[in-house]
Amino acid sequence: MEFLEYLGEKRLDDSIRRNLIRVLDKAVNAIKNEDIKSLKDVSNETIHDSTLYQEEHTITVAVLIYSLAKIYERDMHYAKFKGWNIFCVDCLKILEDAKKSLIILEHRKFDDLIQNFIKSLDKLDKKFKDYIQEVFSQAKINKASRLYEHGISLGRTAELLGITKFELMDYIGKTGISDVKENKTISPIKRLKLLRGLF
Amino acid sequence: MKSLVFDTGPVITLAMNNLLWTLEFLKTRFEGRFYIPDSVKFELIDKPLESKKYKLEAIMVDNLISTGSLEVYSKLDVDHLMEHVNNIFISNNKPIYILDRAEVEALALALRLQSGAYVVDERTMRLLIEDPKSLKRILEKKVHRPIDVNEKLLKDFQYMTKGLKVVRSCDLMVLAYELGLFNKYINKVHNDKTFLDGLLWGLRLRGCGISEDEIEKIIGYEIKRNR
Repeated sequence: MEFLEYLGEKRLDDSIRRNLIRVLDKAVNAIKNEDIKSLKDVSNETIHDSTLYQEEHTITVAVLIYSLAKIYERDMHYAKFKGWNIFCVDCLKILEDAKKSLIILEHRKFDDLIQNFIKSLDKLDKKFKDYIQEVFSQAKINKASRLYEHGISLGRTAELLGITKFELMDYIGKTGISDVKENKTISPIKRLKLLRGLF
Repeated sequence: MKSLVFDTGPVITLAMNNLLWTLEFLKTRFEGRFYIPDSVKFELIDKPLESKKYKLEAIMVDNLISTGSLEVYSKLDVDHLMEHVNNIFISNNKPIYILDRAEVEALALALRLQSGAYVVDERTMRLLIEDPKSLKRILEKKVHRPIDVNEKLLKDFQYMTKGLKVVRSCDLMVLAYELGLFNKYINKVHNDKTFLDGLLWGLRLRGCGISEDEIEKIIGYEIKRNR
């Protein structure tokens, strides 16, 4: 599935590894406590680091956790699907195992576990699987818009998340990012006059 | 020969608003050439052609190239410039990679051709050229950490881009409105104000970096100008 196409196999920097362990730990606890807000907060926290380090594993985990928050948020809707309980059990186990693999420095295993999370979708009912895949696609676009909001360019964020600029522009246009006061430089009237001078 | 260089964003904004046709008229009026670099072409045509979602837009942009409204410029080596711009902002002694190749290629092309303007909708590149301290403030506010600036690289960048005009798709479309390209849509039912509101919001909602406040200012200015 394209979700993980951008997941590389580079060895992790130790500060990033430690940060991922902390993030996964918080995510596991949030899921166990059915605390959706905390789960979203953990994903948002990860975006700060993603802005600075632009490390693919950190970005992948941010997308994964945000997707899970969106899925659990609508558990009443998804629970009717065959395979929901298996999906929930698998999610928790994979996140816990991923955390353990980072603790014992098994980076390859960490990659495999995250990959297996996606593969576990194959067991699901087709309609449910389609819903989950759509949530992941939307989560990638959402996280990209957050990186853009943090000051990284549109092109760079699209590249990091493995999405097109078309998808990202369509999404950020509906956010308030353009209204931030720091964005304002030359007045629109002056810019128009500059342009008029060229024609 | 006069020229305008386009980044990917403005062409996407126009494509998604069904306004690509305006470029042909604007180019004729401009009496110059409209360029995109290779990487921008890749993002506008080659990549979306691989999927279903934006295939139609890619085909429509490709048509602009076939008819010569947009020209592709191929001979650009931007490795050094990429390295330069992506080492200006630093956190914990590590550079923050802020721009991608297509954005930098378009910038390099605008500088090489001494273009009349660089057409770019996304705000990071625009801020880097026009107000890099503002970009630093955004980064600091969002990551909750101090950001250092390599002043030497920034100064060199500002020297390189001095005098470069930056415009957005919305500025081009307001100019198109002033030139009467949209007269067919303005009538007793939909007056100038309604049309401009629809035009600018359409552009904003598809990714052009224009604020609500700027939309109001432009509409007010154009209505006053029409009187």
